[in-house]
Amino acid sequence: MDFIDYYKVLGVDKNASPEQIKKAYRKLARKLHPDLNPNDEEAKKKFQQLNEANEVLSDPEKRKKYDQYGKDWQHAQEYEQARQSGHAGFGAAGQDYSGWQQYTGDFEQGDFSDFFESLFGNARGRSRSGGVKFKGQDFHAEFPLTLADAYQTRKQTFTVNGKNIRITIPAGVEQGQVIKIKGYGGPGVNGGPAGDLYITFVFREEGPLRRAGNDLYMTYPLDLYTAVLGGEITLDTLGGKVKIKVSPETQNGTKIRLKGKGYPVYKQEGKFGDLFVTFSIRIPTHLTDKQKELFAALAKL
Amino acid sequence: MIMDKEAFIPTREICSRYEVEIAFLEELSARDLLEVQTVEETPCVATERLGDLERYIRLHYELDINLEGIEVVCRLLDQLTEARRQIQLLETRLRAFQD
Repeated sequence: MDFIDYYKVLGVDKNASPEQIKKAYRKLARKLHPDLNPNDEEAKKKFQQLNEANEVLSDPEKRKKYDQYGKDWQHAQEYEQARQSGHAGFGAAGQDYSGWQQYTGDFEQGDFSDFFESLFGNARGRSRSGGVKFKGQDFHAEFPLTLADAYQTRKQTFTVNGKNIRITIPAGVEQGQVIKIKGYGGPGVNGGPAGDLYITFVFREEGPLRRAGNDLYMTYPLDLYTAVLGGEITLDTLGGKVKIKVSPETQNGTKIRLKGKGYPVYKQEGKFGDLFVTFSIRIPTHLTDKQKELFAALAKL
Repeated sequence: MIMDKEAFIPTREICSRYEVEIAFLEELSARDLLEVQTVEETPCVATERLGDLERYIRLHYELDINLEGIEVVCRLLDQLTEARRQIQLLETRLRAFQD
């Protein structure tokens, strides 16, 4: 467990006045607050660190203890243990500190660091000044999918916080698309409505197919003989097997387009994008002596 | 149009629950950040918009951003979200061409 320099986090001197600490906190809060940095995990982490630093440095008693023990926080741990066994101490949970300000938000506040808890114990559950809440917290979840999963419209049941939810995943749903399920977030407070559940669809890459909008792309390893002489190949597409003719003397990198064999268009039933196939010609390996002979003869023609 | 009563919360209740002034809601409405609708002769806000309202309250009362600033911030955040969505789409398409 590492020591955390709360003064460094706030960017203030160790002798900073309460006003300076408050000013520094507000300035950084305006920069890092999750409301101003949506979907930014880095900012969220820094904001949590900032809140923790402010929790300590804006509270005279906590600051005193922190300054006293500082890098020797292990001694503070021993003190805490003695305090919890019945000795008088400070920093009791539930005490309201005037002038203490903490920012709220519709995001997970996160636990305090181990370092903080080793000095001050579990400080969660305290009432926050100004933390009026009514609507329940919104929940955010990622739903992993493969291309095959979203090729056809289907229903999916899953459980969130003990509640079963059945959703319809329309065919052709896009990477990063978000759906909102009303009322499946956290419970409301003081009679307020429940929050909502936001589900983001995240595709993981699997297999040879790549998607760009409604079109699919793949590279097909074509053998040399079919490339030179022409022939027929069978492709495995999401919609089933497709036979295609290969023209003689097909060059490496040749691209063909199979209309309507791509990905379903979101909410337009029966409509599909195209499949683009790029041929990558494979030079044969492990040739037998006879094969080498024939190639040599061919080269002389 | 029949309005579902439970889908709306009276503005006076909102002011009481969130400890904000009615003038704040009126300002948000004037700037088209919040829609105040009349349901059975009572000014109300749709429950669906409470998330947005809470965000405005945090921006104003906790981060000291004035109403003009909230308007600008919201517009820029919308643009940022859309730009990120476009980038994600482009990255996905680029990956398809790189392989």
